[in-house]
Amino acid sequence: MSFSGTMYGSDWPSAVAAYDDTQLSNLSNTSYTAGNPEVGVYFTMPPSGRVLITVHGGARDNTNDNRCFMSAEVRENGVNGVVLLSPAVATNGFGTPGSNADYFYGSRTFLLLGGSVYGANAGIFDLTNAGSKQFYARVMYSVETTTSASVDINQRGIIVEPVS
Amino acid sequence: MTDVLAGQKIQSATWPATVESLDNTSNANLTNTTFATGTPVVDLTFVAPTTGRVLLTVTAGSRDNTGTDRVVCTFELYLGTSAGGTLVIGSSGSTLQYECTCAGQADAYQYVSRTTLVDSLTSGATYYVRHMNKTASGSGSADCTLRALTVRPTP
Repeated sequence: MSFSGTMYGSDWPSAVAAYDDTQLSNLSNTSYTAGNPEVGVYFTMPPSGRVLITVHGGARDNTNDNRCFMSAEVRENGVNGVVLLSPAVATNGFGTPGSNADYFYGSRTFLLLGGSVYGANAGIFDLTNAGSKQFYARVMYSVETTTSASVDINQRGIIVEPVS
Repeated sequence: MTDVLAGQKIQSATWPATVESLDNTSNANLTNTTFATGTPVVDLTFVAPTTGRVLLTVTAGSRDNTGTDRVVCTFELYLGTSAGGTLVIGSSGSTLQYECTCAGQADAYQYVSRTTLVDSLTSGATYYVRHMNKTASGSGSADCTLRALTVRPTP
């Protein structure tokens, strides 16, 4: 939460982002995977306990019937840490329409916060020493395979920004 | 509104809380071709920062079972604590710069956001914003299952 008074630079850890444009073709995973290369960032939780996460990318389906879901996963400490937020397109992901054989590009932005009952992604983080704790966020993807494994991804990105 | 100048001490009034409201109740078989609020209403109030600027994100998960209609989502912004306040940004005129939509051919749910910079807000004032949706052709086969609004202060 924000208090009256002066703020200092330590209240604002850097916004961080990762992005990759490696072509991933004919995908068949109907469960979320990080892919290769993995697109992830380490971030420091600000004292406010709130960050905005944006997942963005581009995908297509050659058979016009498979969606691609790109969603954020957040863990404590690092890539092997406790999962704090699981990938789920409805609450923290971006999805393509599935009907298009041409690449569809877009993004999804959501608020992640801890220590509060407000919002769909609330109450996840332990805010003890919030200003120094490290977290890890990465883009995971899963696809539909209605008639065949025909989803291609050509862009995956994630942005984490401290907010008040 | 006051721009943030180099060397200026930042007070917390410049950074009120970032807020979000989200609901995943299914709103199915939509027929309205003019903007309406959806069920339940997805709304929130926020305090404008000293800069008078916020980034406002509209998010939706929508589809059309026949692959021909589109769900179009936007927001309405009021000065005050409810839709009874003073209208600042409405939905009856052009909303092309604020909208997010699903593709017309999307017969399975598609999730996407659109972010807008809203400027010239009164510093410290409370504003009310609500999520609005409509369909492009009112076919009765378009569904919206996820609606969200996110507002955060910005320099």
